Amino acid sequence: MSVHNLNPARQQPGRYDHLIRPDGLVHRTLYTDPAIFDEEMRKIFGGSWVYLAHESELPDPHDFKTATLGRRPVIVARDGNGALHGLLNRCTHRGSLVCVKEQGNAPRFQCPYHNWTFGSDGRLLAVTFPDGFAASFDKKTRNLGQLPRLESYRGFIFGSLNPEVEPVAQWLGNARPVLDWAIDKDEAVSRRWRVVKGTHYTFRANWKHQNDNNCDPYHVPFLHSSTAKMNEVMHGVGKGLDHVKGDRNRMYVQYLGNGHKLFDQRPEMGDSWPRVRPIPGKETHATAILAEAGEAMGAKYLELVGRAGINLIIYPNLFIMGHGMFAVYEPVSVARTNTRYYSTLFDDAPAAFNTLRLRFAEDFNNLAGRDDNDAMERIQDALDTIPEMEWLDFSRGLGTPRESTDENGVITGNVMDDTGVRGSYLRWKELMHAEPQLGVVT
Amino acid sequence: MTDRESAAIREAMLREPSSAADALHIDDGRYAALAAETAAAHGRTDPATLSPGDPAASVLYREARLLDGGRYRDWLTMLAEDCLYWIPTSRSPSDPRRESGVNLDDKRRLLDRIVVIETGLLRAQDPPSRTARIVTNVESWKTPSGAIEVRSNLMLWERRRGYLDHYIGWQEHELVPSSEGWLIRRKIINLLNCDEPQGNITFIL
Ligand code: FES
Ligand SMILES: [Fe+2]
Repeated sequence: MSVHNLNPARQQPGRYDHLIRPDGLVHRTLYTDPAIFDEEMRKIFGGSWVYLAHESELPDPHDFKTATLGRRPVIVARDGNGALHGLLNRCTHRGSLVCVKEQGNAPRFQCPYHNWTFGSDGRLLAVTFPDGFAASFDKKTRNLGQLPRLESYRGFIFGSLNPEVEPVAQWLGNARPVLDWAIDKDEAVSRRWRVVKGTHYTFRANWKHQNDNNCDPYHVPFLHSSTAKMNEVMHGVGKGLDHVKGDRNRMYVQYLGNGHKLFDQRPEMGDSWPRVRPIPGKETHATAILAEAGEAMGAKYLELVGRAGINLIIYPNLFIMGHGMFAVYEPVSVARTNTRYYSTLFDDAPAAFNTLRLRFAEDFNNLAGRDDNDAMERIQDALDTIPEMEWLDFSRGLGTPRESTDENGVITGNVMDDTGVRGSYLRWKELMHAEPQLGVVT
Repeated sequence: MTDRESAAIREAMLREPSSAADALHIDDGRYAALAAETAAAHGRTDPATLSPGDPAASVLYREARLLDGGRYRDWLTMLAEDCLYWIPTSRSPSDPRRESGVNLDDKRRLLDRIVVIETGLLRAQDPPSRTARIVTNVESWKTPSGAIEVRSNLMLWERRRGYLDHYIGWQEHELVPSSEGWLIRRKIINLLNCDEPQGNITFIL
């Protein structure tokens, strides 16, 4: 196998400096220019690590799951020995998509067009009517393209087209202890957890709006006021996100480096279960959990039903909420993004626990989550159509004494400041100024 | 146009003469009546008095009318206390204990959703979605317990902020008898694109 370089034309150095300004202003073209989007798909969703799938979605040999690396359709597959491969979902014959199933088990992938057959490791196993090919035709030169790097961190599988990326564990950096905290909380009560698909959404806006939005507590008391009001009227205070309402409290946002950022609600959130709204079946299922698991263990399960109190964004496309909830951002075009939600279920927990987790996962998404999509679409509509107004403001907190940097380089800001988002744009600029040597293993 | 052509058109018109008398019914009173009639049609929430033979169809049509009109409180009165409203995210038959739905609401959470809309602060419904739905292929079965199982097709167009979206699929309704007539105990909407990314479903399907 060999790595083929796909070197882009060299870009002018520092060309994005004037679009991301030190005073916290970011230029509209980052969200509207299709050429910038294409470059992002190469340099960020290609040159950096991108989350693709979770190992529990493909536990057995020959299991596979399709995903996207930026816009590229890929198949994350286990071969017969259980080793993971990131295969580019494109036939090496005439270029057809090979696999259009979301998930499954297949020792072989057969292309529907002329029935070339590939192994779950991507190797070309057979061509039809082989006599027609010259003696010099070498099947080994027609294997499916394969990502040069694919690594899993505690089950979370990341892929990259850049052979030079640092190991995932190192790249996660300061985000790693937060991700560990979230996984450890689940693993403290479950040895057998697995990821299941949740609801997926689509909206007419650039992917970076979503990436910003999930580390923007500033909007919560305003954009989501209808849900807060309903909770207050119907169920009293202390439900949902009503602890996110002011900027004088112990919560904070952090820029963790490498684009990763955190909105940490834990200091003000208290226990999670009392914040869980009256989701369908809440009372009957809680009773069933306590009866089956006992009071002490049952209480631990109940605590894991609702939110964990973290918004951890692993740049560019993974959003960890903890307690088994996460989402994946999928850029479709410069002004179209999908956000795919997932939940985790415990195979070793009372069935009622899993059901409640699923009902909880629907709750915020149904009631308030679409507010964010609407807000992002409004931004996109205005940015797309008013070129004369050039800048978006991410300056909140900048130059105030409330931003501080610790010995690990983590920058902590006030809960409603743009500290985390600003950091992501610095990373964006760094990645876009770099010239990653993308390659495909064939 | 040649002279011959225009002459032919004039001749054709004269074969169907119209007169000013045809327009005499349009006066201010008629306009006032028209405005009042359409206001009444917009406001109509009562059961239809002349309906197709299948009692289930009239329940479904009334439901469609209330939902398209944003008459959520009136729609709530069509639901049994133990009603479940479900939009699965996978092709049926699916199991709500194994997957989250686009929605899976009991009456309590439906009421929450309606209150959220009623606050007037729900940004995703400002402006509100305008919907028109077509409910067809209504087939129904009487069950041994006296309920009615209904299957129908749904085509729903949503217009909002100049954008058009659509929701297409088939529905299951379970209707149970009560002193106020048939109540909906189960409503499941199986969308063609149930397993694909969804748009702004902040209205009731
Ligand atoms: S395109 Fe795949 S076999 Fe021909
Ligand atoms: Fe939000």
